[in-house]
Amino acid sequence: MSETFDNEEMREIIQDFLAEAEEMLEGLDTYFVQLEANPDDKTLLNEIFRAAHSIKGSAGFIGLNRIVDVAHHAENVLNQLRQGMMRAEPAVVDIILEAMDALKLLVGEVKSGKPVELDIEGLNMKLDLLLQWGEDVQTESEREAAGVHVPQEEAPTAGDIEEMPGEPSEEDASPSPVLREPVKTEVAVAPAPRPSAPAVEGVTPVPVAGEVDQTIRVETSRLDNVMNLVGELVLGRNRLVRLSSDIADQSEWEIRTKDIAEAVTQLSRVTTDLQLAVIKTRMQPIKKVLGKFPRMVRDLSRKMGKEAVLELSGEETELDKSVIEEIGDPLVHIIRNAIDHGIESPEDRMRIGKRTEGVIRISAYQEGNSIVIEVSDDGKGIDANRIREKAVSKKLITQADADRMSDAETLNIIFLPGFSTAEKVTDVSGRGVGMDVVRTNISKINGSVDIRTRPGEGSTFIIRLPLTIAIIQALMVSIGSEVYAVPLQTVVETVKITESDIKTLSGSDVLNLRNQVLPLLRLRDEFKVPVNGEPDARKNRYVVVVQLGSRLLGLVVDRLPYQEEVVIKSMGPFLSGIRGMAGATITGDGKVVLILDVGEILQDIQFRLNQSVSSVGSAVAGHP
Amino acid sequence: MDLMERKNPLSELDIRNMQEGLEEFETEVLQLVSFKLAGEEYAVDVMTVQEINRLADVTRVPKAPGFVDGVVNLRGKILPVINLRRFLGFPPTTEITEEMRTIVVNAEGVLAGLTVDAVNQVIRIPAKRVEKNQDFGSARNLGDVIQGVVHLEDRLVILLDIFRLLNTKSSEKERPGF
Repeated sequence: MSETFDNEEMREIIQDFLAEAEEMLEGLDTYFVQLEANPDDKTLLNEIFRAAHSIKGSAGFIGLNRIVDVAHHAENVLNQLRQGMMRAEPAVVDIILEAMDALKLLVGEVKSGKPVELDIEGLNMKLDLLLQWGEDVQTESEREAAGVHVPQEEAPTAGDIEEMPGEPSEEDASPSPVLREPVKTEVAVAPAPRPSAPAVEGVTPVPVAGEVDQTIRVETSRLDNVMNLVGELVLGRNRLVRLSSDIADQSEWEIRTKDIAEAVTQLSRVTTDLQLAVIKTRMQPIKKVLGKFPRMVRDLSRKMGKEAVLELSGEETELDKSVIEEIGDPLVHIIRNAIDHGIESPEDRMRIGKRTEGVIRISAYQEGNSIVIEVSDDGKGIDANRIREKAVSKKLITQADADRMSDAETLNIIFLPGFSTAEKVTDVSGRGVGMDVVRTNISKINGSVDIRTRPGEGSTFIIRLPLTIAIIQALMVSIGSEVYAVPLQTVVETVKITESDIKTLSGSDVLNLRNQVLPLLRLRDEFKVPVNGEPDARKNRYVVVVQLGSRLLGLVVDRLPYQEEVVIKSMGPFLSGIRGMAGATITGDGKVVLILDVGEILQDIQFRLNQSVSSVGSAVAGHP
Repeated sequence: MDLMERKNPLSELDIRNMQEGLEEFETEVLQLVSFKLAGEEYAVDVMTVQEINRLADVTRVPKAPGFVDGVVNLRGKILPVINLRRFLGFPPTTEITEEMRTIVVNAEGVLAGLTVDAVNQVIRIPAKRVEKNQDFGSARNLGDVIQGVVHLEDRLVILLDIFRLLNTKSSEKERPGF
């Protein structure tokens, strides 16, 4: 069949198929989890069957035989389910989910061109066995209902199925749990009319006829381009704004000034609108990311012997596409953590008087210029004292620090690399890698993450993300004759001080800010700003207090000229590895100004402090 | 030699000239932009040269490798500026002259500006005249950035490999020159 199409058309057809199949498979995950909770929901069952059937059809059209194969076997089972001849028990759903995962892998293979190791034979056999078992139970109960005595049909045991040659190679495939249990109860209850009655109950016609799609797919490279242009527009607007204010000073230009000012106002408004419109084209509802979580929570909780259910709210909240792509992994980590360490075992929970089923709630909402995502669980919370102990024993902090730190500060230790309170390392979490990667990934997209907890009641992770990552508000600071931009989101406050306010503690500069010790970093020294003949004896200094998570740092600068909205431009591959610089921007006068990467600066300072703490005796801070 | 005007049949000389021209046409010809640096002459493939500009105000980049002077705004793009003198290991020059230029090169999408003492000319030479495998001693930071040398009538031109030059990871060449 593929000969009838030329290469270009074929590629398009395949692209369409891939997009459609991926979407469907993703949706199916959620359906299945819902199905487990409502095994008799006809609407769901029909939806699921239809999706599988559709994938099979499209794949067949293109000639993707392996996909057709698996889909066909799965479809048979699904057919039984939707006709009420088999029930969607967890064991059954497990196997079908395996089939779904296999389909995803196969679709992925088509997409990437990389062949995938998959035991299709084994999977199909499993599905057939399932089918067979379903039919046997069916016939048997029919006969029992007819009064014929039937020897107990042996359900295929986990043993039988395990013997199948090879398993689909996936780390997440849950081994088929023993099928005996559900079968026993089924057969024992045989006479119940349920299994033998095919759906005579009025099947509610499912209305979804395929609503007209109001969206279009846009190649992200095109959007990137438009975004670039908008960036230029913003810079042009900035230039005009400055020109306009410059001219206003000279009275002979008064008349012109008014015209220019008007033009500038109009341009400014258009630019802002355009900027917002373009940002919107890149935004997608967060449910795109959240979609795979119900299934993940189900699988993980079964694996760890816990019971947990996922509640979502605010799924329509929109995020920039690049943020959506980056936020998935951190969320996965946090959820895994919640199920593994947060939620107690069903027995424990019952003992304390909680429902055996733990609840993990993810809610997303917009707050001002940020999007907030909260992930909370009603588990046992985080014990600050245990954290203190572990941190001290792992030499991440000193005992003195531990005694001095507040509970809130202590919680942030979780994000330090190398920390984990798990007694044993499960293969899911506890290797001490998860949380620091979470914070790093979130800072990469200019976001922040904090924890709140109530021992015994649960914990909440609060993630704050900026609406867009390419355009930010920045505070311009000047040191000597150089200007740098500090992302406003990280700035807590600015303080004017004199040189004499700066004290030294263990060899480092600090400031007493409202009775808290604030570590300082003199940017002039850190960046080796050339002195340029300017006397360094200025008495006044400004301290820009930046914060990431709960870490604070005061940046010492000379002046704070102004605040501006800037477009972050990449420094290019050649210079992108430089620590402390997040990028550059071009200001209204055409000059390049570097944007500071507060996260990296904080990390480096932390690293240096740790180094000096671990060296014995009075630490001479390792300043170069 | 305008053939349309020719009324006489082609002479021997004409034919020979044409033949030589054809030969040249058939062998691969390189076009190089040559420039002066610390008293020596270097060149880069013209295909890699995007433009040549006068020196502009450079924004210093703290913690960048020593041979990076900083960055400039190239019509909206951030262009790293490499001080070729420093890169090749020559002592830096203190004075800025009128003739100094920044050669903007583009190697597979990676852009950079190279500051040189003066830009000379475009040289056309057959590719086979580039001699490779020369040893330049350890004094300079050249390594394999040199593609070869060309002996012209009266001088020596050193051909630089831009791709190698721009692919040098900053970390490898990192010298605490900030």
